[in-house]
Amino acid sequence: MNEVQLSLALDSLWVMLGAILVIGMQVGFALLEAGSTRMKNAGHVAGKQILSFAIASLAFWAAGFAITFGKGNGFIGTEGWFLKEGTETFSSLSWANVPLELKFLFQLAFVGVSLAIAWGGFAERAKLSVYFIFGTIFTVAIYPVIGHWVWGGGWLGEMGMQDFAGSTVVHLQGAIAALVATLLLGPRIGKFNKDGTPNYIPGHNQVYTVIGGFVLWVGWFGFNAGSTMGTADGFFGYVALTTNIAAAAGAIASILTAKWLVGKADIPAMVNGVLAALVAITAACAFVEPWAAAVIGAVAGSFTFWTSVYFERKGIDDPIYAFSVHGIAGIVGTISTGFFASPRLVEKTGIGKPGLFYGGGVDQLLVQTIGVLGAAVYVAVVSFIILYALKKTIGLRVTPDQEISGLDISEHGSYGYPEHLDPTYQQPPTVVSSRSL
Amino acid sequence: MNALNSIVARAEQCSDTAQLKQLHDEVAFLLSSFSFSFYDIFDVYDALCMCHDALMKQALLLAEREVDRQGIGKKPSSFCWFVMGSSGRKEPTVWTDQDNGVIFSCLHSEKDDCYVYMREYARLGVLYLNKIGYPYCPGYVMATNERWLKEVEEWNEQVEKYVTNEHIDDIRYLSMLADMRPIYGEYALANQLKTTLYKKIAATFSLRSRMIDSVRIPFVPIGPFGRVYVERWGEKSGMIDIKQGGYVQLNHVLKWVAVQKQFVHAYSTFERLTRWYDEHGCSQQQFERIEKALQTFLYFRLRCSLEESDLSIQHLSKEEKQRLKKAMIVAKKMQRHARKWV
Repeated sequence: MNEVQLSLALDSLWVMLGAILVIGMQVGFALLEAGSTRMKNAGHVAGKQILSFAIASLAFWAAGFAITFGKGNGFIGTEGWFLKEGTETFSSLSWANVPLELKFLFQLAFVGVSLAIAWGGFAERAKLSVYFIFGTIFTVAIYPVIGHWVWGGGWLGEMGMQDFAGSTVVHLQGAIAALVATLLLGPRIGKFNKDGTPNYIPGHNQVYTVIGGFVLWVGWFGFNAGSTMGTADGFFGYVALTTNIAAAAGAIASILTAKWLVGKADIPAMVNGVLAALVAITAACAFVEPWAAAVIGAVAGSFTFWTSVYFERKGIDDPIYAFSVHGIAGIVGTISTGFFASPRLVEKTGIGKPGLFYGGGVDQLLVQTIGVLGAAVYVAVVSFIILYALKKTIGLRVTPDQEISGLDISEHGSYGYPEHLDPTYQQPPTVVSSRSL
Repeated sequence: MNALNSIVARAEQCSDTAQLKQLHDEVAFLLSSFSFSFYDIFDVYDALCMCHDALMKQALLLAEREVDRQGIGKKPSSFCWFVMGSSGRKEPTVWTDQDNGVIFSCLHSEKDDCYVYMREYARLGVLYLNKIGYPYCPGYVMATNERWLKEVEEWNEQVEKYVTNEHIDDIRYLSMLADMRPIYGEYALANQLKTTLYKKIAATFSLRSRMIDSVRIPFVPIGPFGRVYVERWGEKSGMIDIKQGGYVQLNHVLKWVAVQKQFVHAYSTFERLTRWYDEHGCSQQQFERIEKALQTFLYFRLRCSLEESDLSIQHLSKEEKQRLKKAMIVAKKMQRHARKWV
């Protein structure tokens, strides 16, 4: 095996490992979301992660990948349907020295994450059919467009927008879709009183929430470090370092913020703080020094808790705080490189300019802000059109009876926790038959 | 205030519980139309306490007459009905629930029959009090509970057990009893029991750390930089329970101080504070700060009671907010300094 072959093998293995880690984040989302919602919806909330990833896999393979990375114009890719590769069809990914199938698999994992984030805003009250329709449209008409703008040779990429692993492309997009959904769906039954005061609807299993959060933390090494898509210079190690430092700072900042703000060292707040920090460092992980990663993580972790309380007081029922964790932190992270991007790392990555704090002026800050605004507006408008149309045609929300019964029984016919919830549940006979022995 | 004082005289003329209930409602009506401030709050509570005492005494007199009429059991030679909790501290709000007990004295040979009489008396007393507007205690601290209805010797044995046992609930019972105040019958019985109680607690060194532990909770809901922790969810969102918001913590500390210093007849928190200051337990500055904090808590507590709601922070004026925060900080510091003072 020569050096070229060895490099290909190592890079391929690394990208495959990254893809597995990021796809593994679906497990984290299943646990996080199921734990953060009620027992009567647990099977549905966890199970829809498989459905979501399956929809994303097919739709992204058929069209999404082509629109994101295919050759086209500054707004969308127009070649490469079903991964059909022609001359320079996927030149936007030519910097990665791995087979196209691996590039697809790795990028698919990101779409899956973005879609999983969006579902947060639908939790506990959306119809199953909406997941099919919106999931497909999101994968082919929303995510790929922003992906193309930033990573596929589009106008934001040309401007030098720094979004290494997708604070905007993956997280902000999912979060904006979640926010639009949660506004159109309205709050869950019982979330707010007549006078507008919010009620506490706790998740049914805080341990699941914590494990889910930790699975996501581990998966993020695939997300960020994996986004180097190469092993040659070991730069993935540096990206992993900034990622981990930010997550740690986010955990500590969020639990301290919760203690200060509401008087309780809230565990779900800490989990969300870790995730917010990871979301924020996703854009910046390859552009900032470790100390800046700590600052970014701490600010995102802290700010996210504050906004989650604020939105709740304003009557927005975002059941698992998807917009705060992924949206607000996505904005914080994307904008952060406009301040913290270090000259040596900008030179290494070859993307954009140094940040304001390094004498780079406001140029990069401006680019980052335009990127955030552009993406947010596009996703908000398209998501609104689609979801509003669905609301007016097939309806977005299950009936009140179904919502009260829970989505496990109303949408799927069986409970995630039958012993606890099914009044007709009977223990099977305890007679030991010969077949059991 | 004169109108409140007239309630006392009128209560003595009531011949049934319906009339007493009407008077109780009148107290609430009078207070809600009466303007009071932080500065005259101690006087308001004194007048209010006198009204409650008069209403309860008359109800208990009616109950006694009824048991006598029924001729049940044997009437003991003497008995005393006492109140605890905020009524015991002479700090009841308008709508206060029952916290009461009974001590009685009788010949040993007649004890069983006396218990028959006293149980019926307690049953009727508690029932009449409920009828005239004093709800049953959700924690069952009432004379109908055998824990709070005993003959003198049995009370002494019970107190001895509370003091020497190390059961987790004992300190709570001792705390309740430390606020006892006789309101009907032979006051000497309750006063003697209270004196014994205070002496035994003060003489039992092992109780001290438990007393200190007991005042550490609930936490005063104020954080760094004076941030007040309001209820986050539910219909009380944005509000604080003023009782748990500093009042209870402040009176707990001063209660144990009173026990340690043997201020048996200092019933109210302010009386306890004054006695403590008179005996040079605290500086003038501390006295003034605690007095002001107590005025604040009592004022808001009465206001909340009249409005039948918790305290909404956002509806307070800037001055009221500042005053509340300062009071909460005083209560928090008192919790911290409990080890030094108790």
